[in-house]
Formats: sequence, C-alpha cells, structure tokens
Amino acid sequence: MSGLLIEDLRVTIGTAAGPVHALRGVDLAIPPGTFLGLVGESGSGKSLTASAVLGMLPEAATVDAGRVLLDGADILKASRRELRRIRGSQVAAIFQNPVATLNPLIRVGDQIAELIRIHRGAPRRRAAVEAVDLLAAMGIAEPRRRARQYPHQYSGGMAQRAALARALACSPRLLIADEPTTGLDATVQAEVLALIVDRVRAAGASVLLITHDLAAAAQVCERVAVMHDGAVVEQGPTAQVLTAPRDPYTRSLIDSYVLAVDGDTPVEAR
Amino acid sequence: MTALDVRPAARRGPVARWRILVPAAGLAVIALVSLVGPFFLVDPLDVGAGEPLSGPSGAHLFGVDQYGMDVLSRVVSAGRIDLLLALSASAIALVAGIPLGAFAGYRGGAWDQGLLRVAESFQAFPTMLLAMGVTLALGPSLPNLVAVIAVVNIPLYMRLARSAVIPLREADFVLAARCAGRSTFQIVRQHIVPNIAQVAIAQFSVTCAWAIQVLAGLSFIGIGVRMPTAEWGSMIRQGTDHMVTGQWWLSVFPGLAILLTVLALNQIAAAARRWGGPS
Amino acid sequence: MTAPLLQARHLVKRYGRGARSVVAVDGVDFTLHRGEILGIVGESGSGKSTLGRILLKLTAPTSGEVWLDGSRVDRLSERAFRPYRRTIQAVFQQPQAAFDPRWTVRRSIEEFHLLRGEPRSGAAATIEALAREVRLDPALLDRLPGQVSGGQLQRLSIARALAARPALLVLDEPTSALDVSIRAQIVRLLLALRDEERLTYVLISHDMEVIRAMATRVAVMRHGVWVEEGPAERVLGAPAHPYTKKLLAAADAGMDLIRPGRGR
Repeated sequence: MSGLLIEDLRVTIGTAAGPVHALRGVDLAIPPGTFLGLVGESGSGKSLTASAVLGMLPEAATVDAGRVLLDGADILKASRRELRRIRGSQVAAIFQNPVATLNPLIRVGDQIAELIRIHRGAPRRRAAVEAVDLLAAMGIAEPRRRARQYPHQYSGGMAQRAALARALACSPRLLIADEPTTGLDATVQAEVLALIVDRVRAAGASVLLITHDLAAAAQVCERVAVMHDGAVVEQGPTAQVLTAPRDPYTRSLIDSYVLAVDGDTPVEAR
Repeated sequence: MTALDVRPAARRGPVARWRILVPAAGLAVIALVSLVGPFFLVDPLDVGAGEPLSGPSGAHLFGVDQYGMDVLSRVVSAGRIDLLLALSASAIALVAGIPLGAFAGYRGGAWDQGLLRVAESFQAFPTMLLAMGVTLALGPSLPNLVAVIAVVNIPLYMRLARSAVIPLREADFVLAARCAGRSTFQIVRQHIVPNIAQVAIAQFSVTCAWAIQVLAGLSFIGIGVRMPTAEWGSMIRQGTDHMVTGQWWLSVFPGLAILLTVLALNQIAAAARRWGGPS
Repeated sequence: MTAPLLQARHLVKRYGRGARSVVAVDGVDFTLHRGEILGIVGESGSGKSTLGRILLKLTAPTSGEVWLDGSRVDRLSERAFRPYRRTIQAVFQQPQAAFDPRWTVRRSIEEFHLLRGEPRSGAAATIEALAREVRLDPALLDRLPGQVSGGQLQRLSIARALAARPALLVLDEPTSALDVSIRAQIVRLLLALRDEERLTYVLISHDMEVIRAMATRVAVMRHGVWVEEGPAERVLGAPAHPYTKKLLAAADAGMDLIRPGRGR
C-alpha cells in the first residue's frame, strides 16, 4: 500500500528509573494526499511516533514490535544510508521553534539549495535559483534578499515558512509537522497553517500534523487520531471524532479544550 | 502526566561522580598527609637530620638537602603552608568577589558599570607582575602574600558571579521574591548566591591551583616564603643549583607535590563545571 | 462608592532613548473595580506583559501613574511599597521557573507568608491550609519544584500568591505553559478562588478561550496601545476594532468544528 501505515508500533525507552513503555501499540494510516492530525497532551507519545516515522528514535529507545511502512517499505528496517535517502526525498519534517531548526551560521537560501543539490543533483547555480523560487512560493516577500539572510534575521512565522520551503524542496511524499504553529501568534498561526495546506496540496503530499491544538487539527485535517498514554485511543474523520467522540478520554480532552465543566456547561465567570 | 526522561540511563551521573571523586580523594590524601605527617616525621628544620646531599634511602625516603634537612619532612610540612595560603587566599577572593559581582549584576546600571571598571583596572596588570610589585612594596610576609593573591583574584570572582547573575535577574523566581517584598540584599543572599555556587566551586579550585603556582613562583624568584621555612617553590629553587651535579631529589619531590596538587585541583574544577550550572 | 482597586493613568514605558527607543506601553488608561476580571489580550510584543510588570512594580513606567487602593504607588520606594505587596500579587507563566530550584515549595510559600506580618509559629498550619485550598495534598509542600508536576506547581504558585492574602492578582499567562486538561483545572480553580477569597484579577493572556471563560472585561493591546476595551460579551461578541476582529477570527478558526452547538 502507498502512503504511511503504522502497525502495532511498540517502543520502550530505558530511563534512569527503568524501562518505560512509551508506545503501546500505535496503529495509524495516512493515504496519499491526505492530512492526519495526531492530537494529545504532552507525554502521550505523539512526538515519539513522529521520530519513529523519521527513523530518528532516541538511542535509549528499543522497538519491541510493529512496522512503519512508507510506500510499502519498512522504515524500522532501513539501513542508515537508506534512511538518509528517505529523509528529505520521501519524508520531511518541520518542527516547533523554526528558528532553532535552521542552521544559524548558514544563509537561509544556501540551506535550501544544499538540499536540492544533494537530493536532486542539481548544479549549484540552479539550486540557488530554485531556493529563491521556493521562498517566494512560501509567501516570503523579497525572496532574493531574504535568501541571503541568516535565520536570526527571520521572525518566527517567517522562519517557519523557510523551514517549510526546505522541507518541501525535494518533493517529499509525506510531511511531518510537529507542533508547527505552537509558539507563534494566533494570526501568524492561521497564515502558516493555510500555507501548509496550500503548498502540500499543490505538491500532492500527505501530512502527519502533530499538535496539542485541536482547533489547528480541526481546520486542516480530514482525519484525526487521538493519542493518550502511548496508544491511539480513537481515530476517524475529523468531524466525527471531534463532535461525536466515542472514547471517554477524547471527550474529556475536547471538554478541556473548550473549557467546559461537567460535560456540556461552559465555564462561566458571571 | 510525567514527561519522559529520554536520557540514556548510564550517561551522566556515574561518569561525572567518578571524575570528581578521584581528584577529590587525591587532594584529601595530600591535605591529610600535610596535616598529620609532620607529627610522624623528623623536624623539617633540623639541619642534622642526615648527611647533607645524601640521596633517597631507607632512612630518608626523599633524600637529604644541602643543609642536612630531611626532604620528605620538608615536602610534607611545606604542603601545610602552601595549601593553607592557597585556600585562605582563594577563600577571601571568593567571599569578597562573589557577593560583589552578584550585587553588581543584580543591580545593573551605574553600580554595575562602576564595579566592573574597578575590576577591569585590576585585571589590566599581568597578575604575576602585580603580585611581585605588592610583595616588594609591602614585604614578603605570609599575610601579604595571601592578601596579594586574594586581591588579584577578586575581579575574577566578580565577573564570574556577575555573568551568572544576569540571566537569574530576570528569572521568574527572582521576580516572585520581589513580589514577596524582599530587599535586594535578601534576594542576592538567599536566591542568587546559592544558585551560582556551582560555578563558584569550579573557580575556587582553579584559583587554589593558580595560587599554589604563584606562591611557588614568587618563592622561586626569592620574594615569597623565605628560608628556612619549607615551601615547595623555594625548595625547588634551593635544589636547582644541585640539579646539574646530579642531586635531583632536592627539586623533583617538591615539584611532584606541586604537580599532583595542581592536577587534582584542576580536575575537580573540570568535573564541577561539567556537572553544569544550577539544576 | 469606594475607590477603585487599581487605576492606570496614561502609562508609558519606553526602552532606550532617542530615535532608537522602543515604546512597549503607549499611553494606557484603565480603572479596575473590586470583583472584576480584566482580561488583557494581545500577541507577542504587544506590551501586555510589560504592563503587568509595571502594575506589579517590577518595572518603573517612563511616565504615567499607578493608583492602588486609592494611593499613588508608582513613585514609592521599594521599602515604602512593601505594605502594598500584600494587596497585589502575581502568578507567572512558567511554574517551573517561578520557584527557586533549591528551596522546598514550603519555604518559597513561607517567604510570601511573611508579608502578612503574622508570627511565624502559625505559618505551617496556614500554608497547609493554602495547599488544601488549591486542592493539593500538603505533603507536596516538602518537595523541591523539580519533583512536582507543572500543573501542581502552578496551583502551588497560586497558593503562594494567596499566602500574602492579596486583594488583586496579576495573572501573566497563567495557563500558557500547561496542557489543556490542566489548563481547564487551573481556570476552574481561579474562578472558584475568586468567589471564595473575593479576589480581583488582571488576566494577561493570548489564549482567547481562557479570556472567554474568565474575563468580565476585555482589553485588546497591540504595539503598546489599548485598541479596544469593554465588557467581555461586547468585545468578544461584537468587536468594534478591526484588529480585535482579526484576533477573534484567528482564535475561532477550527473551533466551530469542535464545539458545534456549544454556546459562547
């Protein structure tokens, strides 16, 4: 099957206090060209799931069972060399705190061009031109000037646009967006989310959006999966999961999110 | 819900502990021997302890110097003086420098600038030269030596404390203490200084090591501790004349003592730094 | 009619001098009466946190006046202001950063209990009562901040503020560092405490849901300027300023899917 398929993924992490069963059987499916929102609170295992898909599980983690199939190939079985090829050309990622994910010492344009050269073998000159075009496509004004700047000269929202440009530079089939709008201002969040939808749809890729922000997932994802304590407790079409949750944890999460107490009564100060 | 600690289990704790325990144990042995040793050894000032310039033997493990004094006994008793001077000078520098620097960093503004300028003017001199100048002017007494070493180190502690304090100044718990109506003095004493103790300990070890070397250096050039008081630097100096004629034990043993002490102190400092800042 | 609890008169805070200066707070006026919850909304760089610090007398305003309980306080020395510290207290965003990492929680709370000017002998019992008031086991008091979860620590920082027995709390992003389920608990706790302790809040937040759930009055700040202020229903229900509309639209995007049929 094409797209991303995670089957019964179980991961244990060795800590100072002993082994922790961080993922206890995660099942997820993202058909090509679709958006899946993976929502949950901190410690639920959603970011660890993303690390597994990127083949970047922490050293202390051991995979006890399961498969992570990207277009039919198991990422957990890939060699280091294969992983390097997969990351960037088949799966790419953007993260929270975009300024920190860009190399502070290299001009933004050069960072994007470098990827284009490595993965597509484009000549230096053409890669540089393409990098500027990509920045322009991400809605960055004066892309030529901006390409010559360093990450610290970018605002948070702009840095996330640049990070997205870098992630999409090699036309990946899957984009992992791990809390891409957390920490950005609300109005900038909306712009960045809209940009992700627009650019990824244009490229025909699929997205795994990891977020604690239910509203962000609701806005852009066809399907939503809810994680709690290392397991997916519920997944399905967004409207169904968010308006008619079957799992009690999902219900309580949504109630917290809209700040309602005792089921349906919204919290009122007055 | 607890956040996962994804640090590999056996990476930080044990290694760091080993790195600090070994040099600390070494230093403790040196200190203990210097403290207790003289009670079991011959008088370090006894010029009739053995045949002058006789080499290491069963009776005189480190040999005998040109005046007939036992070298082992002198190396051990010199440890008392060297460690005492280094520790007291470093302690004075720490006790004066850390609060001053913490205060300057916390207050900011004119206080900060003023104190910084004073510290810089001290640091503008090469420290060894400053130490030589003061000892020559005031005379080479032990208190003077301590004072000189302390004074040239105060600016180091000030700058150290200041740069550690500046991020703490805006920390929420310091703002909270201000909301609790605590005075600047109380905040610096209760919240700031304890939180920079780690860097201070690292610097303290470095200063001690440095002080021992300076003391030895001053004594070596003849303006530190004077004969016949046993001191590692002056012992090395006494021995240099005889190195060429083959009586190596006069200089080598005090030299080794300095080497081991300084090495232990520097390793403690390195380990303390590795342990990191305020947790 | 008693004097308003808190008044800001044309507050300005300018950093730096001359052409390169930055105005963080640009002429803010407001009056806060007892029992109100004033929600101050704004994005990063709007000056809302600087305003909070000025009210707490952690930062001096460049010009303007702060009146607390009928007295002008912005010019007072720290020593002269000390009695007012009992009246106005704060809860900060990062609970882990708000406690001295080397002190037990109990000792941190004792520091605030001193403001009451009561004998120390009664402190232990009072502090344990405060822990229960924020719905925590007093056993947590003897832990270090690093050994307590973020949500519990935020409750403890509320308990600590209450240890001074204040009339007014400045809440600076009190839930922004917390997970949503914890956020809901803290909001509920703050609302309950307001009734139990007759508190007044200045609530600084970028989280429109928290503002919606708590504020009786809402002010919107942008670039240091108070762009709109009014009763919460009016500002959130029928915003007048285009920036307020934009903020609300951004906050509401996706929310319609999550709470169809749930009332505002």
